[in-house]
Amino acid sequence: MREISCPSCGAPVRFMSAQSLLSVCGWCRATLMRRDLDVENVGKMAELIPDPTPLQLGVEGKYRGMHFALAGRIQVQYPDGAWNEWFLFFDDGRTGWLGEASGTYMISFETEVKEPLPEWEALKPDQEVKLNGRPFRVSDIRTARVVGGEGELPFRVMSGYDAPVADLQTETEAFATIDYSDGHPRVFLGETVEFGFLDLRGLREFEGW
Amino acid sequence: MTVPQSPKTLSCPSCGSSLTVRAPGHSVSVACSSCGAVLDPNDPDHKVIARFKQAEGSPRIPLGTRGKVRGETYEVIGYLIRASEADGVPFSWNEYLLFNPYLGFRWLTEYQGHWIIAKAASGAPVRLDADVQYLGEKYKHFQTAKAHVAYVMGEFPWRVKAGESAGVEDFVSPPRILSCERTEDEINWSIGEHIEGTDVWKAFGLQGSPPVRHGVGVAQPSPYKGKWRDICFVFLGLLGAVFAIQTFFMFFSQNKVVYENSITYVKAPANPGGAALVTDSFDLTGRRSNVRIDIDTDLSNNWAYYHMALINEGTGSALNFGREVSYYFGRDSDGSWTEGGKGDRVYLPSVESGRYYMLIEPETNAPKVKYRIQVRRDVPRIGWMVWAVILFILPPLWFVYRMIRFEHHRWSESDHPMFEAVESGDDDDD
Repeated sequence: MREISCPSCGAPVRFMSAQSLLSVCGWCRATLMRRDLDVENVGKMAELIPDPTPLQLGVEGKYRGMHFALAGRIQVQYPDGAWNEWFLFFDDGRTGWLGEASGTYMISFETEVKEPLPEWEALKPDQEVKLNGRPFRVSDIRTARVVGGEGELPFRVMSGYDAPVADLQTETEAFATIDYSDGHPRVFLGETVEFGFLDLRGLREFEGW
Repeated sequence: MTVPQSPKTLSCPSCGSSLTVRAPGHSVSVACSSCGAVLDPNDPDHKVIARFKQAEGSPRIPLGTRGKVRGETYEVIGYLIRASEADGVPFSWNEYLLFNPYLGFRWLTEYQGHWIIAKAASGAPVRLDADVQYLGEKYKHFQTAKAHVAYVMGEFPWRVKAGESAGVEDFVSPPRILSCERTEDEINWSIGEHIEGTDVWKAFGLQGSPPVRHGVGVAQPSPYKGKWRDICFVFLGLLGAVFAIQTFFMFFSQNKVVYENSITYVKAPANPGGAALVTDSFDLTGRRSNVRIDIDTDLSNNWAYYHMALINEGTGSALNFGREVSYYFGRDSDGSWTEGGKGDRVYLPSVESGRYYMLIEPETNAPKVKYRIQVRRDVPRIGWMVWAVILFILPPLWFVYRMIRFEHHRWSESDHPMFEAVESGDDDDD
């Protein structure tokens, strides 16, 4: 863990993991990129849309026996609401993602797959794509509007950009997301999980609940 | 960051009624039950996005009611009446939208007193011809219908559109049901499970009793299905016991010939019927058990009647009985025929042990009959076994009948009724 002072406002900004490439100052929303020993302020991150997520930075949980903490998030906007991808630090050094909206929780990990991936332009709904030997079906092809991020993130996230992504499903809880926003497609493999399965602590509280 | 946390109130831009938003941030449509206007709660002017011309509708579970369903607390935030038709017959059902800020949304649907609690499916079920497979389980196609919203009240996390109809497909594997809803731009799968109406009433602390149920619910678990194996086990067990008992008797029965003789009876004209035969004495030993008497004759197109008596030498008591043997044959326009037989067999049940002899007095039209008589002690019988098996098979048959009848009632409302002649499913199976 490393703590610095925000070059913009002086507030303390943390880099909990060596895998974090940037951290957004919680006070002034300056986006601080890690540069060797120093950080560079690459601009102000947009305010996120107020959304009714029960999660927040610092929430802790367990996934298959391994403790994790929520270190950052990317918020994606849809016509009817927002979707959050929370960046997870596991105690064993791994990082992962917790996708979340309206009571749906999906854990995923960025995974190298041996198969060549289809081009973005060639994707068709219901197409079968094999990822590390397992067949998935393309369920959604969309351009997601990224609002921005907060906390620590493993790659550069800007305010407001369009991310071409494909969602893939199986007959079970297993799913995959292919993110084409970075030139080369990145594959995230994971599963849908029940809220209770994650044993989440430090959640936001809702009046009356 | 200001976040919507607690319920907020707004007034209907159309009629001024006060509306509560119970899931702020989630809800995209709020329907005013007074005037049928559906508005966007996130729009600063609460713009009306749809308008329903709606009749009276009142949810059995009032909006805002909280209940603990299967250990999780939910609040009722929306209510729909959805309508469809099957074979030209309109039908409708009730849908309650449940919300919990941590767990998201659930559906509670009610049709004819049958309740289902459902949530979004986490995977994409795989189609197998008409049926689907989900999480390794096969669901049978039940019904495909077009449904539209007939009444709307409360709030929803999607844009409620007036006049839009959705294609709904149901697949069942009781107590679970998979539903696929298809609108112009979306396909949504949900997985539901049967829940008892009384449990719903208990969960939400409702007064009175849940609506009376009619027929068999689409996902209602069969009270027979799980017991089928047990019934089979009991039946096979009884069958095994019967065979074991029979085997035991086979082993331990004497099955012994105690008297045997061949006799030629010649009708004496001078002394009709006076040719009674007194047999040698023989011993019937062992426990009180049966005696089998076989008679074989050489009758041909004739009859003989044997008056017989089994007499206990010790006590003098006699068991009198008669047997008739008749054997006829011939040939007519239909070919050759026979009637009767040349022999006879009789069991005398439960004869005490002791020394016995028999009196045999034939009566016949034939001038001469050759016959052979055999007396056997303690012969194992299988007749009782047949009756036992028939008796034991009746409950399983009744069970199968009830089981099929239950499924018949379930499927009578589907696209695939089990029998073509559909009776009116008016008896209530619980």
